[in-house]
Amino acid sequence: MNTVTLDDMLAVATPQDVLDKIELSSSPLLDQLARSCAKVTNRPHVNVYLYSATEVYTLGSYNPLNIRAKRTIFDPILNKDFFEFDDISKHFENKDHFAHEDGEQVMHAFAVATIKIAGETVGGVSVYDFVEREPLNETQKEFLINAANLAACVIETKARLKTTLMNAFSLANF
Amino acid sequence: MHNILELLSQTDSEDELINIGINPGKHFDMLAAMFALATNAEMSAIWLVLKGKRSLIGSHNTPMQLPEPPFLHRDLGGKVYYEPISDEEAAVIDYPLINGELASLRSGYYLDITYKDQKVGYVAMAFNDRVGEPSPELTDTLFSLRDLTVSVLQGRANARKMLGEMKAYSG
Repeated sequence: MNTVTLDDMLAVATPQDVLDKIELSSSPLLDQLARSCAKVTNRPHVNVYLYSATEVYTLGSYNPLNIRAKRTIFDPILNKDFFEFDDISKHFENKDHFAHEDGEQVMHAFAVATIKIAGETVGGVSVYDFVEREPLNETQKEFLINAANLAACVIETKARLKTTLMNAFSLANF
Repeated sequence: MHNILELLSQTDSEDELINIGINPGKHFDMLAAMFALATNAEMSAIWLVLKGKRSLIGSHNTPMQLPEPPFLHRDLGGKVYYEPISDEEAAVIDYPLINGELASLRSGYYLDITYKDQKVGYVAMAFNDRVGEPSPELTDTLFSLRDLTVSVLQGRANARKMLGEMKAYSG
């Protein structure tokens, strides 16, 4: 058993496992990840989130805004590893989804690296600002993609662990 | 049957990490990459140093078989330590890169990793040039990444603890 790694001991996670098993509330670790993303990308707002079929759940954030958007509005970017825009009207019909809580300001600089589990997009790490900004440089993009991959690892491990523990303790009850 | 949590509560954090076992993994490789990308370092590595035994748990642009570096910083004073390397030293010290090439690097940044208030390892970033002391903003970024590294380390340790307890319970 000593040669078996942590990952070997855990059951395979599926995208549905993640949404079923992960606690859909804020995680200090993902808050720290968001803070690092803000520092490196020099953007004031960061959200780390998962999508269900209809909702968006923020699991980590830095100086966050309440993203009121539904998953369906992210459809144009779900298959990409990274997406960035400086003018949302080119990509999304309804700008209200990207409005500040004050209802007036609209996001200008928005970049997202998608969180993928078993090859399927389940969420994203977004950095954004309400004023016009230069696009992220290649190093910043790569950092954000790494951050999303790390978030995927953390989320997947939590889901796998919970699945494994629940299975083990339910079996032990027989 | 051992109660692993009771057992662990009687040990210091180095013992705890040794008992639990922390393997190298992609989590730590990703963190090493984030340190390198944040600083534009040529390569980076994350080591645990437990009871004097060093193990490389994550790296970026350098192989896992990285030879022991010619320094052993066990007390960096809680700061980002900047170390310039002279041309003479750089010409002698060859750092392996992932593509098999050897680089003569001319400076490095180092940070301690703490677990339960005890130093258990460090992160190193190496540069082609003498980049100078990190700015306050970069220092803040590196501390933020260090906090993230410690959280991932604790997360992995907690996961292994829970699985250990599960094994004891079911065994």
